[in-house]
Amino acid sequence: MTLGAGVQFWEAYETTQAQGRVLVGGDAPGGSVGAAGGWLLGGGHSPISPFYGLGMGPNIV
Amino acid sequence: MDSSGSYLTVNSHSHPDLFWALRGGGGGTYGIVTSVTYRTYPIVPLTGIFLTANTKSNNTLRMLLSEFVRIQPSLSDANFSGQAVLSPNSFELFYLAHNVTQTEANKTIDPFFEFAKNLTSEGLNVSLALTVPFPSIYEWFTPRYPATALGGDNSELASRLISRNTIEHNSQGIADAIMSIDGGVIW
Repeated sequence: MTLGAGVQFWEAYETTQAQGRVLVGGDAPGGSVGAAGGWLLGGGHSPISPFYGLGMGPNIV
Repeated sequence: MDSSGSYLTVNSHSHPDLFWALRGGGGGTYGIVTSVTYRTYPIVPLTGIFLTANTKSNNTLRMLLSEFVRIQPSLSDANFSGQAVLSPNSFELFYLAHNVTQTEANKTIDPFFEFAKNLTSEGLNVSLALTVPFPSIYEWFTPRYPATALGGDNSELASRLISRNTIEHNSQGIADAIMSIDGGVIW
């Protein structure tokens, strides 16, 4: 799924959930900082990173 | 967009050096990221693990935290992950057990819940200790954070990788180090 800068994680989560999918993303009020920005550039630590890797690991294509 | 104003497609095939540099080390140093393509995964069920405890006793809090640090390897082995919040007088747990049934998750966490409840005699008040099954991480995440909630908080960010060996042999030392940080810690 491709996200533009400014998309918040809660928006991304709603969209992926509606498609029956899961996105490795941030865990904070509002869904952390921008889903296509700072969270990723800091590595991307997620509660499900132990299973799918850091946001910036195998989750970006 | 790079510093010359050019739009670049950056991935493991196109500008792989820049792709590498963007992955955690440089923040916004190398340009402006205008869009990102994520991989997604099928939804799996999970079990949420929640604990809230508070005490006026520093020593009791240290005992609880030390035990929690000690069991981290076994929690990781059982597919547990998440956040814990240590404040000067309280400890809160927001964990999940990925693709684990509530029955299995209970087997893993019940000894820790019992440990916490047994600290009642040491002045610990356990106001919440429960597991909840969720059909997906979306359901786990959403009730905690309404879409209208503002992001961000007043924290200093740091990263520490602590080896399994250190956790297994010096959980008390790690607990002491965490407790020495003024104002509380989220991890």
